[in-house]
Amino acid sequence: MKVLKQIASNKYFLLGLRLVLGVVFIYASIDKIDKPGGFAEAIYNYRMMPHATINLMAIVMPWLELLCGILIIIGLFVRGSALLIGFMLLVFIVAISFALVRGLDISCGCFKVEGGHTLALGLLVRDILMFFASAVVVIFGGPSFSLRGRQRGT
Amino acid sequence: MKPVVSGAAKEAVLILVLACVVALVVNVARKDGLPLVAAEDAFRVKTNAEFITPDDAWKLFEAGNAFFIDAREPGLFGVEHIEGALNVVPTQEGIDSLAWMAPADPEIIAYASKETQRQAGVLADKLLEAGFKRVYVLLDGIEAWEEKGLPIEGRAR
Repeated sequence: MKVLKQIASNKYFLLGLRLVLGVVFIYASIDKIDKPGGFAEAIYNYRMMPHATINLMAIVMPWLELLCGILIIIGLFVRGSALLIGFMLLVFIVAISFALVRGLDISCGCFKVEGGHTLALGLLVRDILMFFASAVVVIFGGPSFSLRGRQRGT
Repeated sequence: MKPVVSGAAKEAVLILVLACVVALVVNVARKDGLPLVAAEDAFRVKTNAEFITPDDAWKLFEAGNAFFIDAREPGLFGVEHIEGALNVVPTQEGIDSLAWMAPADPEIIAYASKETQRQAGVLADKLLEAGFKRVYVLLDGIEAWEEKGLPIEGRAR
């Protein structure tokens, strides 16, 4: 347990997690920002969200992904970004699980809003792993390699 | 642990507010911005083909000159599909594979699942572009067909 804690709080390990999460979320946001209508359709296909909320989610979520991705990489509001990334991943995990259970044959809408991955267990595993990574950053993410850290001289 | 989460939550709220502001401003500024609430028919399948109910599709099929084309992925087609249907995903290769049908000028009923009717709409439009004249999309997909107790086949049967 102590070894795990040592690894999780290692500043290089945390930097690695931040870079992976940041790059994935920035990349995931680009096509969605480019095609908000397509992303709204991808959300609709999950048949989980109330009709009135679909467009709002399609407008805001890609920018939230982009902002969190940038902030977690440059090291500003690292824990807040990681918390939001974890929350978004939790939403994806629930949505994909429900869709898999219901046997929906839809595009996941993860990176490409049209013609991307179809839903599979592998996507769920990927999101669960990233969820744990974001949790580690929330708990252990400190000022190392961050703008705030540089300001404080750490 | 509590102060860590509480600090993170405060930062998260700030980021969320910032993301909302940026997203809404950009949405208003861009030409293809979305209305905040989608119109009732915003996510309906868009196709130039006519929609057909399962009962009417069955009548066409029984009359003898209609084919069902399943636009879903082959894996789902294998599990179950409308009896006698062909599986053609909406790609150019898929459309080309139906060239043999053209001389008979058949009625073609494209379908997918209720959630993926868009795929059936895309396939139907490609068939119309390829020169087929009597192309339909099955309303509400294979689920509506099953609800009517019409014939289904596949591994799950």
